[in-house]
Amino acid sequence: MDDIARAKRGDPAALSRIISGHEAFVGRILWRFTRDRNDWESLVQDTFVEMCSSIRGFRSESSLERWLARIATRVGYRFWRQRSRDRSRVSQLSDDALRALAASQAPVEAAQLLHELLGRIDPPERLALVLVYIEGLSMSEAAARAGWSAGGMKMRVHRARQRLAEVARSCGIEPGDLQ
Amino acid sequence: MMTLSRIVELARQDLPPPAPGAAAASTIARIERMRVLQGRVLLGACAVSVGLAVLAACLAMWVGPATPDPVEELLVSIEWRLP
Repeated sequence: MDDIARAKRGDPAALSRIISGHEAFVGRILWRFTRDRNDWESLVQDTFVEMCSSIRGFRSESSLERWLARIATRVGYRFWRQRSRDRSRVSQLSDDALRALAASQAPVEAAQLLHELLGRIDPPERLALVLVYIEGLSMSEAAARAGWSAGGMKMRVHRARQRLAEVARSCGIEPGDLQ
Repeated sequence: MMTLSRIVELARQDLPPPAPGAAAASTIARIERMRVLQGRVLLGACAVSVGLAVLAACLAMWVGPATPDPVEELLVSIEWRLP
């Protein structure tokens, strides 16, 4: 019997093995949603708690990673929505600080800058951009991941690109041709 | 200064810090705590239901069965006999 079947019967050792084997994968997805280490660890744990409580409904013919990615995306998106309701907890760097980040050529600074810029647009558009441009998913894959229709995803991506370009311009960053 | 498309391209290469490695243990512990809590809530709900049922039975015994009023019965029987 494989670990998934054992986990469905509530075997803690099997659950533990599944979590350990997919921790880095889930962590990579959720790193796009927060760059705060404490929040990130908490989101990773929330994802696995949701996985454990709904693993009985998982159909073994679909991929465990794809299923986990959907859960992680849902958890991350919920986190964004909570944060956007609680405006006092949104920390925003000054435009000068953003321009200083834009002067660097390092991936860490670029990711930090993009995270700040994305934080200035609404969560649905933000999710569309993260899935399509950062995760590199196709429109249909991104739509399946977010649980939206392909048409809805296309519309959000289009709107999000315009919005991100506006935000970048307002901070003095040239949008370029975001493909 | 980088353009937005260059920023996105570089941001794709950014990786998270190493996974803490304790997610499995802490998740299993959290699930166990949730199960214990759910069990307690269920037990509490059962205790409240049993308590309410006992209270209802005691009240019913204290009030006693509904007895017919003898005067009313007499009036009804007279009414039947009237032409």
